[in-house]
Amino acid sequence: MTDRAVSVTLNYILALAIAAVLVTGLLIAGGNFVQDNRERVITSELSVIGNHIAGNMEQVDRLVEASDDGQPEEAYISQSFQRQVTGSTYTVELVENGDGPAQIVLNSTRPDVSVRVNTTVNTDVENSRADSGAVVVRYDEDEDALVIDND
Amino acid sequence: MADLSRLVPDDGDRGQLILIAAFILAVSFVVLALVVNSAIFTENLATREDMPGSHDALDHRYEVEQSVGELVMAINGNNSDGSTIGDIDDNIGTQGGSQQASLGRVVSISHDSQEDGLKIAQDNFERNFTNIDGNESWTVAEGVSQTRNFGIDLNLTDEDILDDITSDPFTVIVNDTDADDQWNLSIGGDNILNDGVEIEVETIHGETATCTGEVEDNNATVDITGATVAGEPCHALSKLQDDGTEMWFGANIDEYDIEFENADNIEGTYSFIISDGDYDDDDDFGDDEEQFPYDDDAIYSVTVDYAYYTHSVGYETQIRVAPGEVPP
Repeated sequence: MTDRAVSVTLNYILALAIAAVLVTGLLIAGGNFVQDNRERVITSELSVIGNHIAGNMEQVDRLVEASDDGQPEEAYISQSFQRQVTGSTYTVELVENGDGPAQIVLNSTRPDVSVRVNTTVNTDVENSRADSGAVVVRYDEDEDALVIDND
Repeated sequence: MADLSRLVPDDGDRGQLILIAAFILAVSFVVLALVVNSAIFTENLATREDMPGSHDALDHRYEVEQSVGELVMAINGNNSDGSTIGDIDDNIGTQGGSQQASLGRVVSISHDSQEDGLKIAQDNFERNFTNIDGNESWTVAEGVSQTRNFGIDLNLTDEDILDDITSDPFTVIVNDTDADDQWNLSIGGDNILNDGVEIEVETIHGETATCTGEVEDNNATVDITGATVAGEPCHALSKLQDDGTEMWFGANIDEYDIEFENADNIEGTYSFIISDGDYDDDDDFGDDEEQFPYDDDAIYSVTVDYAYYTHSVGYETQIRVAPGEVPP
């Protein structure tokens, strides 16, 4: 009969353990939910920014094509974007893609999310990169190609 | 049983697990709110328009091109001194510039250079298209590479003036100087008051196309380089729809002579401007511009420097203006 009190302690520990497991599960699920949503929002935010830059690329391309010899002395469009997407900084890269359309690749740093946006331009494209913030799409007269930078 | 609960001292330390978990969950929900906020901002960003001014750079460029084109046509139409074109800076440049400045843009237009040409025309509406000696077949210009603003205004007071298109109608021949190729344009018509004026074009590859234009007030206009007859578009002077055959004036010929044939079977005025080359023979033309065909110095094209800046868009280029030019 001296073992009777054990069941109460065991009962208590079991209840504690089960509660701990449930609470941990809740925390993990909640954390993942927030993280998933964050990545999804970053993806859509980057693709919106990428599409804006692609639009600017195509507009600069039109400016270049409209000039008589296809070589204007100057053609650029600068647009300011937010420095951070959902709390993460990002970089923008312009990637020449052989025969396929050139791509704008946006990478957020933490979490690591990558988005690619195609851009269809007639002018050549030079591999180049820019940081988050004001992104300038310009026609580079020396290279006879479109580049992006932060100036 | 009552003693058992006192095994754990009741000093308020119970329930930390739930408390901490609740705190962490609360923080995650705050982060979630921020994430959702970002999502809303993304929607806002997505619906923003293109950078203001990026379309206007091209719109204004087109306006400048049209304005300078009108100016060039006015100077050539009046046979004025071509050197006055330099006043573009004052006229179009300053006025357009201040107008754009009120919209928050910096625009600069200045005259860069010009290509002189030669205008060949006849202003006497009562005369046929023969040269001053009355020759019905004659070479109007030689060694030409580009022609613009070729227009003919037909005087059809005598409704039988035009010959039937199948017999001996008035023909403009663009004769390749290097090869035995010809581009022909014939203007004829049998019963013009009912059937209208008929235009037939034959390219160097032998494709032919025709179109007709209505006669109004004993008059019909054929804009050869503009591809219209009596104000209506004429596919025989532009491009065919079947496979895009190029039909326009002098298509696929690099350098050519312009000749008139059966020039007595037409009456009215004509005018065109050539970029280079020369008239065949000075004796073909007269000094009395109101009576006879004549040649005069003219502006073939003008190049202006165009600069357009807003806070986010920059565009600087040269615009070459040659109104009424056919594709090379």
